[in-house]
Amino acid sequence: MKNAWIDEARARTRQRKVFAPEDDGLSVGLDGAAAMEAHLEAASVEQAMARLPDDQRLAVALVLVEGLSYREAAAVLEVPEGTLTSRLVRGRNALLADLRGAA
Amino acid sequence: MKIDDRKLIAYVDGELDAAGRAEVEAAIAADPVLGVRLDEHRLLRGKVAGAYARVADESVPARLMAAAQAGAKANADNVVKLADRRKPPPPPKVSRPVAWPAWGSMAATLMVGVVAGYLLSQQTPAAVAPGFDGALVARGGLAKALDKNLSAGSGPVRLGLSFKTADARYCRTFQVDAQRAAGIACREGARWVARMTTEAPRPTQGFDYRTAATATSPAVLAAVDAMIEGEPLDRQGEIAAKARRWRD
Repeated sequence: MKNAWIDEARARTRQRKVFAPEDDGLSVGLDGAAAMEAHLEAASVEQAMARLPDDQRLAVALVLVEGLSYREAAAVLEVPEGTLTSRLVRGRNALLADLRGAA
Repeated sequence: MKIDDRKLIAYVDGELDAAGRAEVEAAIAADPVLGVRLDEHRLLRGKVAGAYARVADESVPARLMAAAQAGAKANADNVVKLADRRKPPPPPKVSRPVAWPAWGSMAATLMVGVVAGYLLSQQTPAAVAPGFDGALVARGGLAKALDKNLSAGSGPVRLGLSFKTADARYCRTFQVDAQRAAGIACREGARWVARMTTEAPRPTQGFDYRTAATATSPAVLAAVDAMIEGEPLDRQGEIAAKARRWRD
């Protein structure tokens, strides 16, 4: 699962470089301003996630996206729970700062 | 009593016990700044989950599964209908190259149908999709309904029975009309993992009210019988379980 997230992040970075124009085209099909806004917000969250160090991104992804408990996420990453929570705290504070700057 | 970010975030993630929650709530009541901080973290949690829920929806056609296939099949019908309903192309004025324009416009018509069908299938996100560890995880509206709704016999997502398993997990039977999917989802950590899914019977018209039991298909009920420990939760039980976020 950990590797899946790393691969995902790499693939997305490549996609952004190669397929940016196509992405722009896709949003034409989305209906209405609300959908567009959600699309843009999702994009900015993904970019902020991509800027996190791997450790922190994985911790945030497992807990917030995959919905694992702290215990489960720590087991997946093979780190103590205390390490997981400090990565979560640093990662989320970095995301908050990043998204606040973008808004 | 100082509440640090670690504790605040654990509170947002539902990781604190009752004493920890009470401590955070008391601190927030006393300190508005802390309340703002809490809201920020709550909002972030929603944003991150939302951003990737959309991603999961995007790639659904690539990782179709039984539940999603029912929906896709229904949408495939639209391709044919749309193509059939389009007016036949006007007869070409020039008589010589008859064959090519006719075939060309037919191909174009079909293309429109295919694209429309694809877009329609995109508008119905899968109710369950594989998580990164391969477990089938409830997503979007279904996940929200499993979290928040009490059992009810109407609405786009119907929840039939809530019960506890021998290994002390909460499980709920669900039926999603849009995708004609039904099954059982069990709480694992913060996720609802589908233990079984099946094709739901076609939604019947004109029966807005029904008992929880009749809304549940026989295949699902049989699976419930195999998993359940004790009796299904009554309404009070559901309210209590929901308040504990379906964890014990």
